[in-house]
Amino acid sequence: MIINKSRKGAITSILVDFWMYLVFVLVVIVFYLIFSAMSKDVADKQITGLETKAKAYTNLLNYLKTPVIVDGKETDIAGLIRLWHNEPDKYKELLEKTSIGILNDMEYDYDNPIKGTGNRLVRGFYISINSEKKENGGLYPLLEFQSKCCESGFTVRDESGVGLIAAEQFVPVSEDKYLYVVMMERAKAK
Amino acid sequence: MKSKKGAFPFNIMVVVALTALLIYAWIQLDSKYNGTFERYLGEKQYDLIKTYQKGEQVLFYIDQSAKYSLEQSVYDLAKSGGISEIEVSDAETFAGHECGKFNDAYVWYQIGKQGDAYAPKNCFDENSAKDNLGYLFNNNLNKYLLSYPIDIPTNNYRYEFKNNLEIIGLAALPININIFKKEVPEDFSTATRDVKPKPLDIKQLDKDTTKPSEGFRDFTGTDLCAKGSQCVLKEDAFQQLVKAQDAAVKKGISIEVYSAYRSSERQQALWNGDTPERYAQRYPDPAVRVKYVCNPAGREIKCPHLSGDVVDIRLKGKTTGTMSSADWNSLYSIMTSADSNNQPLWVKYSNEPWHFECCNTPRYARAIQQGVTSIV
Repeated sequence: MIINKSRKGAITSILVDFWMYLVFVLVVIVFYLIFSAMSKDVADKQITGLETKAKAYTNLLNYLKTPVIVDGKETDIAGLIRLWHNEPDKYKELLEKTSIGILNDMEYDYDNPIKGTGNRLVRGFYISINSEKKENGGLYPLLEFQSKCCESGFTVRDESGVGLIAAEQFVPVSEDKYLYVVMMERAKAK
Repeated sequence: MKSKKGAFPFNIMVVVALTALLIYAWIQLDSKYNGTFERYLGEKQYDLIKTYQKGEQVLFYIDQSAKYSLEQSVYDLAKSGGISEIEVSDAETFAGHECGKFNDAYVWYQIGKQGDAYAPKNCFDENSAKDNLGYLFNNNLNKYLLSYPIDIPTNNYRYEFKNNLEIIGLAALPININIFKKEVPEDFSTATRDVKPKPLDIKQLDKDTTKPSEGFRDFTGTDLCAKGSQCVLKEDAFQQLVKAQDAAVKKGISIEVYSAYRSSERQQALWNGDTPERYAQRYPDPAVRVKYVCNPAGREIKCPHLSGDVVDIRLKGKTTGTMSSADWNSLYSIMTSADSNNQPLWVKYSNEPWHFECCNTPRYARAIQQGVTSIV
């Protein structure tokens, strides 16, 4: 910054500017360090798996909207659930078979996101159909199915968490009754 | 700045000011979060995603419900021979199907005797079948929507019929889902509305209400308003209603409004057939239509619901269909209880046990003048 045209004044001005810039940079560094230390705690409280949580709802809706032929007519899984609710004996087998088939098709492999593990995981899906949503969050399924990877054995707890509800949907079955359908996602080491 | 003498203190001042500013920011942030951040990073974004998902959930439910409602409506309409009666009318004279029923079936064609001659009468216009279907469809859809855990406005769609059985519903009111409002009850808890009698929580109103205009009170979504209904009253009428609810609580019951203030635009839309009831399409003759719906332009005294001093009301947990005569009597006794001036809170319109008026309506004034609590 040239503030004086005389040579003597110019040297003083440069010195002043130099010290001011130096102090300014030091102040910025000090506050950067302070705020970095403060934000360390914040970074630990970050919600993870946002993308997975958002995708779970799409997965559940896709499952419920999957077309299926019932009694020679096309409907969707939500429609089949309604038919099963009205006539359980007639439609239970078809609902189970179709649902498990869809859930198996939805399974996919991916790298274990936990550092240092380096293995592959299989993402599996679980569906439960409940008569109502309980206030305590507990599930009391009328019917449940899961994809083949999670039929039995150990599942890995990941960002969705085993046993946590990833997505939920109310499916109408009559004018005064709906069913509460829940999807969970699970990971299993390959 | 032209002199070097001024440059030095200026730069010092800049640094001091900046340092002070940063220290102030630090203190503010530190005091705001009490040294630690309680909220999770991404929490607001997650709330937004969840809200979007709730919207998608509701839309899926409505889509499915509409599909089933249409199937049911086609069945119902076929069973009733293409005719559907409007069960509840806001007009002063309720009228059913003009030729009535024979052996529980609506009459299509009637031959009456006039003197020595026989006069045939065609009672069914085939062109009205589509509108009758729309009416039944709307009623069935309302039942589905009312059973959903959160409030979805009922009678909220304007239907367009395309091709044969394609119905497009255009919503008039949006579905409200709270974002970031943790203090407002979660939608699922409000869904299981408490039938247990309790005085109205005024705090609930302070949080959730908006005034359509000065002097009006919107209590939609509260315990005093039926699920799926829009409830707006003038402030005075609302206070009378709260008193009536207090009287109901003393008797161990609770009341709920399912129709209140109607704007003149809404009433005009009802008359013009721009609502799910499709009055104009089903009753093109205004002389017949006026038996079902109040004509806002055709009266010296305006339609009662336009005043903001009128309610259609029932006991909580009941429908107009399930209200017994004992229930209607209880409701009448509660609504007409005396206030501190020994005047009835509300007066009943004699032809409709659910219709009560108060405050500044001509009917209320006439009732007070005559010293009665039920009046035509």
